[in-house]
Amino acid sequence: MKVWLPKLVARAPFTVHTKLIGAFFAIVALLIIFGLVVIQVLSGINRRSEELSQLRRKVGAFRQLQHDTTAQIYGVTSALLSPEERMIESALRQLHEFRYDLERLQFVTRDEVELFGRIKIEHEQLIQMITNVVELTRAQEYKKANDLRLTKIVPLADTLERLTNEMVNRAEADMEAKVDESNRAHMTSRWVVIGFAVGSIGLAILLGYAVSSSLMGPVMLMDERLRQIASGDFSKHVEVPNRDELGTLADNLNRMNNELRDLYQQIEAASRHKSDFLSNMSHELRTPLNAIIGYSEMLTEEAEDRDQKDFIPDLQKIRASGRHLLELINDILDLSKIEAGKVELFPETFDVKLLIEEISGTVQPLIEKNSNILAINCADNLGDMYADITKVRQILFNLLSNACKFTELGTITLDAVRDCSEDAAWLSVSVTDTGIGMTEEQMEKLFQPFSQADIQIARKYGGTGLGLAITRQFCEMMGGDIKVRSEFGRGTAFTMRLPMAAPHPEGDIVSLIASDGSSKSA
Amino acid sequence: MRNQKANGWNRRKFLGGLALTGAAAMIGLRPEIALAAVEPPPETRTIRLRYWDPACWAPFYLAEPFLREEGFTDIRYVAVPTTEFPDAYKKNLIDLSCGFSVVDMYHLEKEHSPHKFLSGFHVGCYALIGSDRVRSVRDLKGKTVWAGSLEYGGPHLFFSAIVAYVGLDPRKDIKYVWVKKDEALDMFRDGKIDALMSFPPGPQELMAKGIGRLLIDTNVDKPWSQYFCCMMGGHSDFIKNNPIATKRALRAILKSIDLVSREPAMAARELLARKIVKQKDEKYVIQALKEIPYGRWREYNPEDTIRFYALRMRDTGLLKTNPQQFIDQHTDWRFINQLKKEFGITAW
Ligand SMILES: Nc1ncnc2c1ncn2[C@@H]1O[C@H](COP(=O)(O)OP(=O)(O)O)[C@@H](O)[C@H]1O
Ligand SMILES: [Mg+2]
Repeated sequence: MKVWLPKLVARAPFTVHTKLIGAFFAIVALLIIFGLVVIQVLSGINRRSEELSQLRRKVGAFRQLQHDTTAQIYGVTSALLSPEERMIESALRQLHEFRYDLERLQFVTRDEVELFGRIKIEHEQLIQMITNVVELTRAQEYKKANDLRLTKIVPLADTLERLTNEMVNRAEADMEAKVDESNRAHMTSRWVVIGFAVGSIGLAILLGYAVSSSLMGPVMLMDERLRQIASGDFSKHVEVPNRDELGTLADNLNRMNNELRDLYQQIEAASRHKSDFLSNMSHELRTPLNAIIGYSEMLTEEAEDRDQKDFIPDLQKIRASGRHLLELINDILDLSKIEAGKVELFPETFDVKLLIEEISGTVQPLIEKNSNILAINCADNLGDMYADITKVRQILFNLLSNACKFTELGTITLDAVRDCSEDAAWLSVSVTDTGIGMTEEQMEKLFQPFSQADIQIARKYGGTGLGLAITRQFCEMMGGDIKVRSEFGRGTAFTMRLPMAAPHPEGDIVSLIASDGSSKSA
Repeated sequence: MRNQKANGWNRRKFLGGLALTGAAAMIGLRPEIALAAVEPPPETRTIRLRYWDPACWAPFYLAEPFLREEGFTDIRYVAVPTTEFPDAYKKNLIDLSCGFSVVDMYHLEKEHSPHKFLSGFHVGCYALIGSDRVRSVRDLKGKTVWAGSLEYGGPHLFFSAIVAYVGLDPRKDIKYVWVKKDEALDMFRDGKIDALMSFPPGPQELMAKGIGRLLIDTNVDKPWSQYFCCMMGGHSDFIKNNPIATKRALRAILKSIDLVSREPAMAARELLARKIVKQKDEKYVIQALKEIPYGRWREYNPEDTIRFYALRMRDTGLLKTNPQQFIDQHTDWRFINQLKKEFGITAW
């Protein structure tokens, strides 16, 4: 039931709005029925209590009649004992009362005509007898009067008493039956009320559950699906049983998924083509460029040999331009390789300090070009590093060459430290310069391919805007990162962090960390 | 022992049978006999009647000649003590019975005994006798009482109704001793018991000896004297399968009641002759049979007795069914209503 009911609600071909209103009205209808049942029960209780009080009235009337019968016999006996007119009068008076009792009885026993008929006959006989006795007493025929009293009136009164007793018993038995009926009715109405209450609550919960899960289920499915789409998974469709607005929404989501998937595939293909084209192009360009550079070097040597010094500066310019072009092409090739996911890491163990010394040698001409000073601060505990040395070298070279490029008559400082945090050893290198610096705005654009701080800078300093993009990609590939701090007109500091031990191609990382243990503790 | 008694009964030829029929003729019951002749014969010639020791059931024991007149040839008396009464019906050992209405009612509901009330039998006969320390029924609160030798027997149930009628709780307010009758009489004389509830011959003997005072005489004291004490009943199947036999048997027993009512001394002698009562009790039995108003069956409505006792028993929690329901389920007045007309009764 847990599953089929929400499904049923979902499949119902009505709008969510209609379904919600429907559930609401179902609950309201139940409440109304519940109210009606309670009213019914209450009116039953009311009716029974009325019937009971009617029975009580009956019993009262019977008892009154019995009492007056006894009083009558007593009256007659007294009249006989002291036959004064006053006594006789009082006995006759009681006869009237008697008639009144009978009328009352007739009123309260409308449902027991037969028994009342018998009582009435007996009573009329009794009244007749009493009248006779009274008359005999008046005529002073006491003996006859007393005989009549003993032989007729007393047995008649007995019978009458029994008859009225029977009526009392009947009334009491009726009361008992009513009590039973009342108890039964109480039990049933209690169960009915409990049943209705439980039923209503149950139904309300059930309806609430069914409606909400028929709404929430699809919403959650679609949410999950959207999450997957966001992470680039277009392989599935969301399936909901709903035939309402949510069903339509799910259909639209699936359609959107398909469109996005197609679009993504097209973009992917285009990107792949671009990368392929770039790498092909670079390769095709590099071959003639290398030839140009080679020949320009050869020509320079030849010009020196033949002592034709006039050509040398031109040839050197050709060679420099060629080298610049080659660098540019290499950068583009690197970037397209990265984008195509074709870059591989070849980690090896090397001495960090040696690497830094080597690079400082390489960048020396760049330093001198703008009359800068290079300061290198290497921590003593740098030790060995396990990483792709070419990429590390390229990163440091990029940072240093940028610093040289944007600084004049300043100082470029390289700080290399080993820091052990997050359970691993890191190499942290900062390249700080005292050059032109960057504004907040300029910094925001950093690390994007082909992006330079602004057009003026591009014109003044040249460059392609690829260096930092590649640098960051390399850093991240090796499990590290790069950050920048800069103040416009004051200088810039780039800090990159790389793990000392790149994940080993064979997965053997433990030995390296173990060998580093000493330096770590130091 | 019961079988022995029953066999003893069967072996014994009912010598007085003919003489009683003669007596019946003498006291003018012939018109009914004539009526019986034009009716179809009974569906069965065999009838099994319950008997036990109460003297008040005399008309039942003396009904044999009337039953023969009604066409029954095989008349058996089966001894059934109170404790085995519901079983006797359940095991189908008896066809007709008479018994104290309250006990029968109790068994009908409690044991689902398969029988129905058919008619009234007699009024009164039980008496509640108190010691000198007891002036009224309400004085019995906290006192020790003998109400029969077994719980839920006739005396106990009747006593419960009597004390409940004046607001005592028969279960909590009274201490009972459950001993044999003779032992109870001795204890009463010794002042170890404050009241006795008994049917004849017990109360008569005590009163005659001037021991104790009569608190309630159900023969004359209202409301008890206004209702039947013992009533007649029959096996439901017997009634259903043999309606004519049931009516004829009922007629025979009613005649027998009239006979006992007119000739109590003769009836007492018959009971002695059959050893239903002990010789030493003779004069109390005669007295009891004289005092019991047997003629009342013509005046009292049997249904009202059931109704009255059902009300009283419900008061004490001895009966769960309400009176009308009980009457609907456990009584069948068709036969007595027909016979009522035959006997010219208009009282109810
Ligand atoms: N040390 C630095 N000082 C000031 N600006 C810098 C520095 N390094 C990089 N930049 C800014 O970042 C831009 C991008 O640098 P990069 O990616 O190396 O490209 P390119 O050097 O070819 O211009 C530079 O054009 C420059 O505006
Ligand atoms: Mg650069």
